[in-house]
Amino acid sequence: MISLISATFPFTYYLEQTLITLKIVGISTLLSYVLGIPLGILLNVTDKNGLYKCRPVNAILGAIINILRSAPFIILLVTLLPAIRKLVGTSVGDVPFTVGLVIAATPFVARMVESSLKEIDYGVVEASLAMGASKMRTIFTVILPEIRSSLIVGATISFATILGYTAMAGTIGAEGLGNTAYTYGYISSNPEVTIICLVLLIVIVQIFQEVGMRIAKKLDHRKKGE
Amino acid sequence: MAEIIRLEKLTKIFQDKRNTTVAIKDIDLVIEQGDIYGIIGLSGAGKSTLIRCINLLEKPTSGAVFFEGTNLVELKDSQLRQTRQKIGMIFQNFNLMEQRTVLRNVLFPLEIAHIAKDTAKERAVELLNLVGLSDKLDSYPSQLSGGQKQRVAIARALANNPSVLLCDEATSALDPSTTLSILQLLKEINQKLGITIVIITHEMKVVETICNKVAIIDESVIKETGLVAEVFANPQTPIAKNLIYPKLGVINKEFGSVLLKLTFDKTVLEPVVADMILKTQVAVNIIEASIKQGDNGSTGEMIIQLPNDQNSIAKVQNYLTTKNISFQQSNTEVQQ
Repeated sequence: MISLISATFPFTYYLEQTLITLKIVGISTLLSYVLGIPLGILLNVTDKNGLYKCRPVNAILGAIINILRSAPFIILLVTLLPAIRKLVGTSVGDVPFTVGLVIAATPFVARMVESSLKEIDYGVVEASLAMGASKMRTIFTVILPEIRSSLIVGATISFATILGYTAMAGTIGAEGLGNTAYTYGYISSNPEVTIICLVLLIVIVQIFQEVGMRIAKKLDHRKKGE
Repeated sequence: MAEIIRLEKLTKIFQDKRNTTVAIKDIDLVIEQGDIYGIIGLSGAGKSTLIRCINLLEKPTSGAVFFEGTNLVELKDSQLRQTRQKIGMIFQNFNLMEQRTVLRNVLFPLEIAHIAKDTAKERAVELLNLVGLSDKLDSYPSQLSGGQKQRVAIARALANNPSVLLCDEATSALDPSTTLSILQLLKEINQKLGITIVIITHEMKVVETICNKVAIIDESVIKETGLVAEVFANPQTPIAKNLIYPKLGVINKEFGSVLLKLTFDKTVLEPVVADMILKTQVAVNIIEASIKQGDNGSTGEMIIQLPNDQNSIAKVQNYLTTKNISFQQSNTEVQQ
């Protein structure tokens, strides 16, 4: 394996590309969650059985999210990139791609968060309100902590999805393992580069999934002792 | 006794595009301090909506809910939240926070009330002691039995020293012996802490066991209210009769018109009924019996029919009195 790697690129090159991929995916996932959690909560609470039932807000937000979710990622990205480049004022580097990734991933994350929120037993919400908790306190100190495991499982799925997006973005210039696989593997007919990148991407996803699932399980006290 | 809850013309109508459902209609009810007030009805009668209107988990469509003299319907949100701290509530499905330990579940209402951490912990531990779970502080709800979960819920509901405890089908998910122990705990809380208790249930047994007053709700309205002993002895409405003497089916009235409902609330070791028949030489007809055999004897109740003969009736009554078995008399006319 080592000799195979050094045949085209040194080991350090793959390490560097892996770190770039992780950086882009990490930042995009984080930002998508910063935006996606409030949006997911908003979707949930404005729904017909929600704490702040509000049909118009729910319908409009839901429609925007559905439209963004329906667009194939790579098409959405090439459509948005020129505008993003103008907006952020740079045509090179990871920034425009990261912005594009966040725009594409946030609706996905919002739906993930919304579906986790649906797991809450309404009785627990009712109990909290009956004890005199405000709706806001109920959301942040009852509902979110109760569904934390589901949120973490959702985050690992989102991470894998965003990793996939990043690799796709590699074909139009975003740095990282996707770009290496496409440019130096596919275009240059160098199958071992493609295969090494593929293996590395699979390993990353597996590690994150495993770690995420373990954390989720450790934090979940619902089934223990049964 | 001073009144603590007064419902006036309370009505709740659920409305969506297709249907209008009247859940409760013009409910007038007064609950006095120290009462253990049972509200009984069949499922769909509106009792769940009724209890949720007391703490405004459901906003009534019209009418008033007075709690300690204040009409809750007129309160602002923040005032309502303050008041809710004085009205504890427990539920059929316990509704504990599964990701919090037992102790932290009980701490939750104290966090809402901004009680200092040390004081709150002391209070929570004291309450868990009261409900008999001092060894489960660090357990999670999923590690507890149904009865233990309800005890945690009771401790949690009592945290902010409420004056009223609302119980929404609190024992319906529990087995008979656990039900009994939870009811005993509620009675203790009523007597020791002076907390007024309102119980919603579909089980007559619950009302019989601990309530002093009862309201019978059917088809969204209250049909009958009064002291449990009076309502049970002499139910006025068909629904009350139905609830108090359920599923008896057809009784042969030729045999006799007197029914006795025997309650074995203390465990009984001897075969009482057989002994009674031998001693009194009265052939009784057993209409229904639900007796649970436990480790220390049996508990439960039995309905027997007596022959139309004053002498025999007196003999049986005497026997039961000397054996210290409580009974209530009614007649077959009660049956529709």
